[in-house]
Amino acid sequence: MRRKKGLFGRVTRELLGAIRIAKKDVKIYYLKPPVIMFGFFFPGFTYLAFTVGRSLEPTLLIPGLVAITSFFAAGSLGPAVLPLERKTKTLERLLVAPVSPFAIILGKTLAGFTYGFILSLVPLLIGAVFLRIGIASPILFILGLALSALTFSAFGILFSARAEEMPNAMMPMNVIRFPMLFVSGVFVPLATMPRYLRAIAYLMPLTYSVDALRQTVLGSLEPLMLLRDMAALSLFLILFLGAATMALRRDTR
Amino acid sequence: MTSAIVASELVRYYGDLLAVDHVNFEVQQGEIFGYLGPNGAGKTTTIKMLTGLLKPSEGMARVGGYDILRDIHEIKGLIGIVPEVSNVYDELTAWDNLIFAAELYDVSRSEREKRATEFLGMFDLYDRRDSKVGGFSKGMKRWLTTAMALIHRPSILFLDEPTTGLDARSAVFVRDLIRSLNDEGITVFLTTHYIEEADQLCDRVAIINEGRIVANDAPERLKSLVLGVHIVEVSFDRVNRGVVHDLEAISGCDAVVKQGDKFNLYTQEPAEVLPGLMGYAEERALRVISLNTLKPRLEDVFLKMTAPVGG
Repeated sequence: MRRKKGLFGRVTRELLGAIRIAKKDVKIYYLKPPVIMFGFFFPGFTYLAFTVGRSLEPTLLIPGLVAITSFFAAGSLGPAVLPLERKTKTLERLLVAPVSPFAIILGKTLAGFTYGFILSLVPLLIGAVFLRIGIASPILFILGLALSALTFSAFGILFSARAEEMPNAMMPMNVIRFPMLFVSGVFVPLATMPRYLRAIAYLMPLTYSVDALRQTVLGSLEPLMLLRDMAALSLFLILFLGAATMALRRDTR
Repeated sequence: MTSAIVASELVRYYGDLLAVDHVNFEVQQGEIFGYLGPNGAGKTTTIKMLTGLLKPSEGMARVGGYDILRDIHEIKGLIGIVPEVSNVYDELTAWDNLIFAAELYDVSRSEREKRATEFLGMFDLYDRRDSKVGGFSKGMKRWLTTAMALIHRPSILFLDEPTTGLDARSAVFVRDLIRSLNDEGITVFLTTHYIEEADQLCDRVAIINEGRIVANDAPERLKSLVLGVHIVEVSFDRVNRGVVHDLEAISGCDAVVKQGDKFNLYTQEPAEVLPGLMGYAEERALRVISLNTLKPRLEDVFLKMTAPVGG
């Protein structure tokens, strides 16, 4: 085994470990039924359920749809991966290898991110081709989408980090995911919500994702608000990664 | 000779249950060390503590000279583990499983492919390298798990019940493999239910029962613990009803255990038992097919050491 010394060596090793775990997970899990269901069909049907027969502006709805696709797709990999790995004892293989629990969690998060990011491009392409929607700030949009997919993936990993069976991860996660969907401003603008709901909305990462993606698609950039969105998403990401790592560490206590 | 593994007063609780109770042992470099015990004795818990999967409640241990609490990252790079359950990725091919294992241990790209080819050949899996592992037999998964544990060339190998559930030919292959790995200098820590396996393979054996080590020595020296006990093994041309009871009544016989078509008579005085045994055969018109006196086996030590108190 090659051993790179020092902090740089350690960080490189951990990052490489995470990328290798992510690559393996993408290879194994991308066609698992829950990933397909929640990553592909569910956001599409939810979108149709809320838009058919309503005169909503496509330029407002498409970024919202991109956000919820990323939310459901990236977040579904964790419950499909971790409980199964625990059951088949392959998680033990990772835990006895020279990679830290953080690298394992980061690897799984990157796998969910890959899946969430790619599937989110589907509604975007539909919007571009059929509704002639363009992206006003493509680089900021990509940045916002990447940060959203990472955060949502880590959210799914957090709920799966201790689960022995997939429903044990999926059920509590959905208890939070579904209400989050309705208060995050995807279908109902935040401005029209009662104050208490708006307060709840600002505790949800999806709210910041929807806002960031809308701003970057519409080109109605408010730098401070965009910065707030990115900072909030980053904070949620760190929080989810840290909590998931701590949860996984309990396996070795 | 230096120590590959040192366990010192290791204790592990699961809630209120004491699974490992102040365990002490030392494994020398280049040794095959057997860790024997009945189910639930604390064997796997000990392995989990030594490999970083569990933290001890008390005590300490060093593996490869490193502290299991402080330097677990260094330890992980030195050791290979073949767990009781073959933990391979069913959805990946045999090749991808091996490459992933090599990547996890940061084996260089050129070495990864070389070693994967070497191990697939060694375990007779090369022709199935592109098949998904989900379709493999139990034995093939076991080979792949073992290959994955060896791909980074560990200096200490932990094997948890390596032959459980394997057919006789596969079990022989595993034992030969353990010997040849040991010849290459790898220290082997082996848990097994099979006493004969430990007897054939191990330089030293520790017997653990209800979380405590009850014996720890070379197999032959352990056998001397039951040296006073002799076994007279006899088989007859036919087996009458109540023969065990009749044999137990022979003067000097302490106990009788039926093993297949043979009877083992445990005694302190074989010379006293033999005339009684011959008399019994003549009286019942039984022909003696075979008659042997056996040396005590590791199994007898194991049974003695793990017998319930007062049993």
